[in-house]
Amino acid sequence: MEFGPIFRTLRRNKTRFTLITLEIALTLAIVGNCVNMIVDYRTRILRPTGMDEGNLLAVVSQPFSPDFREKGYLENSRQADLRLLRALPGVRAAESISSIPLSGSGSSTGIKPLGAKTDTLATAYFECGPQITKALGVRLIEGRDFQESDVTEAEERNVLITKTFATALFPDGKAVGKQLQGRTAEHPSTIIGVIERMHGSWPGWEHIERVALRPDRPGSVNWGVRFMVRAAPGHSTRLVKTIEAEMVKANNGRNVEVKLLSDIKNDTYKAQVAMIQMLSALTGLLILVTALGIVGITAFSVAERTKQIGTRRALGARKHDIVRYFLVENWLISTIGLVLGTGFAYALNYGLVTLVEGAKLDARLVVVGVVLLWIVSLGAALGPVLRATRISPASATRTV
Amino acid sequence: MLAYHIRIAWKSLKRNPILSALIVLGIALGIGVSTTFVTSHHVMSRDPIPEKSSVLYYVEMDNWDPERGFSDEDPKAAPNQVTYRDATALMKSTIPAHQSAMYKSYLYVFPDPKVGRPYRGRVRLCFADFFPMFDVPFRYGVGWDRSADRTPDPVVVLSHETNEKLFGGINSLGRSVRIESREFKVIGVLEPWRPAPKFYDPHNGAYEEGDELFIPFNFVRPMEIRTGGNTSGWKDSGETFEDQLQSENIWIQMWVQLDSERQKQDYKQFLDSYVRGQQALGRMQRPLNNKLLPVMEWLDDQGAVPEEATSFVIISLLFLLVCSLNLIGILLGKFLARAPEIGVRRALGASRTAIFLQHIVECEVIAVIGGVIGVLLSILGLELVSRLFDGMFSLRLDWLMVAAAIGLAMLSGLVAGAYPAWRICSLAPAAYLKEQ
Repeated sequence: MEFGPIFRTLRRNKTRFTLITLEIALTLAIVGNCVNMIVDYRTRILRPTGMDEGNLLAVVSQPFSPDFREKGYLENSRQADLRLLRALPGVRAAESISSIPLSGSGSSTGIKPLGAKTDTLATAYFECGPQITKALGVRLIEGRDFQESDVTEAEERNVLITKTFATALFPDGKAVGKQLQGRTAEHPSTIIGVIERMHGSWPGWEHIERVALRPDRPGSVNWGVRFMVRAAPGHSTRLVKTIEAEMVKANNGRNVEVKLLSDIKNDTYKAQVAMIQMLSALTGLLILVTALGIVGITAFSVAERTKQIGTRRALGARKHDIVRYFLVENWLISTIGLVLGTGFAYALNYGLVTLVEGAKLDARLVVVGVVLLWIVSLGAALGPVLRATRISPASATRTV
Repeated sequence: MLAYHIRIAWKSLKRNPILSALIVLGIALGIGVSTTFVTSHHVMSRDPIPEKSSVLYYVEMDNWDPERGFSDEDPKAAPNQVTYRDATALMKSTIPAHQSAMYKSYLYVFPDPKVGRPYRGRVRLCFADFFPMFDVPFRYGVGWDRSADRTPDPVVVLSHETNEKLFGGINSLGRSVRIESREFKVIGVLEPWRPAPKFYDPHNGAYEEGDELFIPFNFVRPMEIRTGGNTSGWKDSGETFEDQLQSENIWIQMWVQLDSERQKQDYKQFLDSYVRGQQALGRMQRPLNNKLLPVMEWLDDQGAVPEEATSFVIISLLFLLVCSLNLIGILLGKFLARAPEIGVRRALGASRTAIFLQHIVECEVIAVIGGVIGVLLSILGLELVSRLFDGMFSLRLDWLMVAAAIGLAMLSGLVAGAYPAWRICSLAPAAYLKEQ
């Protein structure tokens, strides 16, 4: 290998090689951090919500007829709606709920173990009918599910909470049967069961997996009545139109809005999706710019050394010797750049995480970035280098 | 002389059009990308009401749990809205030039059945001063006057869009709009008005859509209108609507306009003495923590600029740096390849300065062309970003940003070109003449 001559060449053209080294290093730093952010957003969007997301529909019934203000009317209408929804072909389960999970709108409260001296822990909470676990498709892993008799007038209720919240409240893992209180010890509630996983209302919140479900008859004239409907696989899209039509037909004194939960989720994560697209575009453009830069610089260094190449060819070097020389040179420069770039990538990540929130750089991504840029760099150099092989040995003699 | 340099530069660019196009495209991409994200950040952190932001203040006071502050992260934070009790008490002050308590709700609006089904409109309940205080532009009519606040009179101001929807955009003054169970008379129609960020109430997203109807605040009680925005509370708030009004729950935004330092001091004193009075009554047991927040400080507190916007600015400026490094490398190669020609010129008497200047001018020509293309690219980029966010922000270039983009391009051209230009002008001519 021609490491000796290559090193001497690099030393003589310090500036140009410093530039290309820096460029590759910065590219790795930026690409590494962009991809890291992309992965972070994607993980958040794709993480399991615990619910049967793909088959869920959210139904909002918003009354405007004055009839709804009459005593008992709203509740009767809620029950009629539940019967109607459950009887529709393709519906596996339906239940009313105080707000729609993942929608960005809902209620939170502070809860702690009864009698604890600690501060309360914030959690999303939903008031819901007794068949809610079936309607959401969440999995009960401890204790028992709600029964009709859990919906009472008493302030003290039985509640279901998620595993994450149970562990936060009771680090020893035994939550079923324990009592909970809010700010004061009045009206404690009792945990009757634990749900494996469920996402609450605000996907941006760090404690999205803290959820408490409280049995009730949710709904009001102002806020409307909400339902979660779980469709049999393949039926959800069709049901969007059917449900709206059927419910308005049953009672025309209201507006009914039906949406796929997956659409609601996409809407909530709109900003993250947009950022993934922007970061992908940035990454692509940056790699393009760097590749063009390498093409340009290699072309110049080939052109500058026309005579040298001609001389080598005249002295017996074959085409592939020339190719090898330039590719080794390119590889050497890009490797130095990538080593430096690994440092830059971590420095940039440190800056971003300190200045604004963000995820720590994943070392695996740096490795992927290094390999990728090696390939890009060699690929970009290949064109001009192959042109170098077309230099005839005669050119060495021409200008002397 | 400059014209001559520019002509030479243009010739040099034309000699190798593909290379020149690549150079220009490189700098254009860098400028396009960085301008897109710097503009996005600039738009999001812009003063939404520059002509008045120096005299408008958001009022905060601390009615929170004596045992646990409003924010676990920031012990100095005061609750970010006020209670109904406090809002109505503050409205009795005669100190501010303008003042309004306000909140939003979603209420059913009943259009003419020929126009459409009833729908839930975004209604802002506010006082007469809302309109003059925020310089709200009217197309037809005006806002209500303070006497209509007291009664309250059933009058409504419609947004431009609502007037289009309900009345097809005609002058609808004097027409009637049914909101929930009452008829309201239209007394004003706005021009299109959507402050971004929605500084006066950013609680449900700083880029939330504008309000659609405005009615006097004091309908809160007769119509029992609950808030459609955020409510926070720490104490049991009871069951009935009246319990809610008397509770410690916060759900109202309070804005005042204080024209002079004197007015500001007076109002501050008024606030302090009000809170001390409440403390004497057993409420507000936390230390005095009254705040008059100027618009920009308030928006900053509320995190109106998404943090990610800052990350994108940093990343896009680094992107521009890579483009500039690229440029230095390519220019260096391009200029040095021309060494023999420069050798001849130097031998014929061209000074180093002349050679240096000529190359700098060439770089600047490249930079300006790249900058202009970059600005065009950033218009495209901003359009794409706006579309990605589904119209959440309206991102547009302003002249300041165009000037900044061209300036940035020229600066990159200067920085990137200086070294190559210096290298070429400091070459000894003899070495290159010999080879010819």
